[in-house]
Amino acid sequence: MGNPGAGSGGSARDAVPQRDRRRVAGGRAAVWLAAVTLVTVSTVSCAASPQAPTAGARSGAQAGAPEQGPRQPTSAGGDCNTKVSPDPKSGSQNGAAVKKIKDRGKLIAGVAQNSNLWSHRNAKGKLVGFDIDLVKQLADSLLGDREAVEFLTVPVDRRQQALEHDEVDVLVQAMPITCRALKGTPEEPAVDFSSPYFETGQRVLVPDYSDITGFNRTLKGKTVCTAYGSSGYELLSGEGQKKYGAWMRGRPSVLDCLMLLQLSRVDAVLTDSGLAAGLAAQEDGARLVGPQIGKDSYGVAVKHGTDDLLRVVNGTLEKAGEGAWQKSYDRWLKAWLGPAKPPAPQYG
Amino acid sequence: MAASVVLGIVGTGSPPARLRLATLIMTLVTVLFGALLATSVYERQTAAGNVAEQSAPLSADAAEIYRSLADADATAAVGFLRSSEKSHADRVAYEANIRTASRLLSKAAARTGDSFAAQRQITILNKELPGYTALVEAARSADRENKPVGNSYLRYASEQMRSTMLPAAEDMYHAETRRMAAIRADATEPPWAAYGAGLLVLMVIGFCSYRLYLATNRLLNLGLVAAAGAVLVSLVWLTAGHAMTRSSLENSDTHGSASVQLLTQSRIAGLKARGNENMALVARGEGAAYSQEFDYWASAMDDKDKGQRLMQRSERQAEDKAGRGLVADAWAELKNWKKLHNQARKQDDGGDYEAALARTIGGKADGKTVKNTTERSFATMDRKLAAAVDHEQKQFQEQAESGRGALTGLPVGGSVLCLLGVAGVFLGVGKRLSEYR
Repeated sequence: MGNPGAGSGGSARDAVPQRDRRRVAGGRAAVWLAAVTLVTVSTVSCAASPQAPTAGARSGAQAGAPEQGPRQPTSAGGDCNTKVSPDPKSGSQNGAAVKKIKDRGKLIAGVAQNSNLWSHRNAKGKLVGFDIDLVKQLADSLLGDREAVEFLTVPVDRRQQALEHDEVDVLVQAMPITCRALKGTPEEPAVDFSSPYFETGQRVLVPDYSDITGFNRTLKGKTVCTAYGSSGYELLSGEGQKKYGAWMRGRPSVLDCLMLLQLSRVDAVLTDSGLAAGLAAQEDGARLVGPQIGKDSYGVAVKHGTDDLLRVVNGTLEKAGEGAWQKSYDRWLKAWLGPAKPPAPQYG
Repeated sequence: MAASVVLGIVGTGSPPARLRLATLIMTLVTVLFGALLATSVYERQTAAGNVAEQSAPLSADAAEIYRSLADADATAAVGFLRSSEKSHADRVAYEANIRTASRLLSKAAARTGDSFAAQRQITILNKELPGYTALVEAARSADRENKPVGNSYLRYASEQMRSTMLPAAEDMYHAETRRMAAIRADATEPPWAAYGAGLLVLMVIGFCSYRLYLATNRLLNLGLVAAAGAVLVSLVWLTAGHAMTRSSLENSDTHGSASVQLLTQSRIAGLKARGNENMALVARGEGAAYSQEFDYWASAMDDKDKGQRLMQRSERQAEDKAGRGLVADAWAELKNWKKLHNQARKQDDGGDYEAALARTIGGKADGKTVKNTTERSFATMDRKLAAAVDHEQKQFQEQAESGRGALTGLPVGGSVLCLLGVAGVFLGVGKRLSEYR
């Protein structure tokens, strides 16, 4: 798939990577300035309506913009205690939120549709993946029927609003538990998270022939791609450039990074292990190298204040920990990430 | 001035010598007038012919390159949205667009020798096109293997198309259009030199007639009167011919060329909107920027708040009822398209991707086959606009042809008249000269 012919296309005028390709020597401030400018510029161009789209440069910048609104660095919301999810046995599991789902007879779940191994459409157009299995378990424990689900593919930039406006009951989108989402922002209402259902950290994806061995000195002089606003972006623009001398290239989606890897325009991709597995599964000639860096957790998000539903979700996760989680993990992720155990419940 | 100085000198010789000199001068200025008339008319004829035969097709080719690239972007996306067994027609359409673009590009590269701006854009497009198609192919093959990364390839390809290729094609189109305007200006420029020479001839003949009258006391010299008449007729002919050419060419500009340009702009805005509509679905839940861009292009065609209103301007600019009718049909279909698009957007934003997809490209949603799709609306609108472009193009050709036609016969006729004028001079003055023998 690595298509050198396509290379004649666009390297020269891609403004973003050039701005990104700053070295340690330029100073940390410059790097952060570039990063902040990028995020601000694209957020603004995304929000501030299309007043004068005539030239093409604009389209390029905008076309890439939508994903980065919600995905800010994990620490952007400041420090907070992320372990606040209620114990299933601590109170009612049958409040208004749960009752509404039961009356409806259907669980409405907000899911992604382009996240390989987690939630994406198979050849027949059906949604499959680790997240989808989890949604079905939730439907089973709420309604006694694994198929009593309506999947809604809500856009990432308005998924928290979808919860707030009761368009969906739960979000199961490989969504990292962040202070930003817990606290909310002016654009994005606060949400509550379940106990973690997947533990992850940053991994490096490289082509088979690469001599990069992980997030370390072998990155010196190599170009590494990562998604804007991800934890990987933060890691790379800090330690990656400063300590290991890597070049960085940001893209709106980590899927774009896989494409650039296949086109030989970057040497490695840095992203969390969950997404990295989804990428590795699409490319036979690539592998994950080195240990996991840092720690993130995926959680199920529900509307802020619906503790009864959260208790059911946490109860489902506990039950899944006895076998269903493992089965689903082995089916989707083990081949890429190696063996793993379900994360221990964390309640506040 | 020079003439009167010469005549002053003439005044010092013997009468026959003066008469001979006067004949020579009158002959010279008449021949000069004839030559100026013939060349200036010939130049304008050539320029008017260039407008109709060379520059207009060049500009139409550039518009077609621009259009087929925007079309390729839209069809690549729609083929991606449809399952592979159903996307055969999309693939054929996509490939036809790419073929058209590359054929016209090589044609333009061979022809546009003198336009630097256009040449530069052609180079860019020739360089980018293979890269673009390679990315689209990579997207397709990844999609066949059900790999989501195909999505990134297609978005990347579309990004290249929008950020580099479409702007280049647009610049090239504008360069060709500007060139056509410049050639048209050459064709409509008044032939001042010929006018001046004509007046000079009349003045010289008038002066000589006056001197003859003083010398012979005969009021009219028939030969000279005939000469002045011939020159006057060719002057009037020149003025009328030029006025007709000018009005035809200006007509071809306002009612042909300008409305073709407006309609072409509308058509391309429609294709861009369509491309964005498709890409918003390709982006699978992350297409907010694409739908904003759709809104931009859709409102460029028709939005009373934005003052662009391409459709309204096209309708006003159209030459006749048939042309206006076609634009009105397209306009009505645009409104329908926007309505359907908004439905699909709502469905997609609400998480019902399948319904949005069915609304956009057809297919089944909630067990029912959706017939009234944005695809159909768009196709109808585009067809109407294409017919309107053809219609206006024909008007343009007719006007440009009649602009050239108005000058037919003038170079030859004018020359003949001038020769008659010279003959008149010889006859008229010769008669006086013979009186001295």
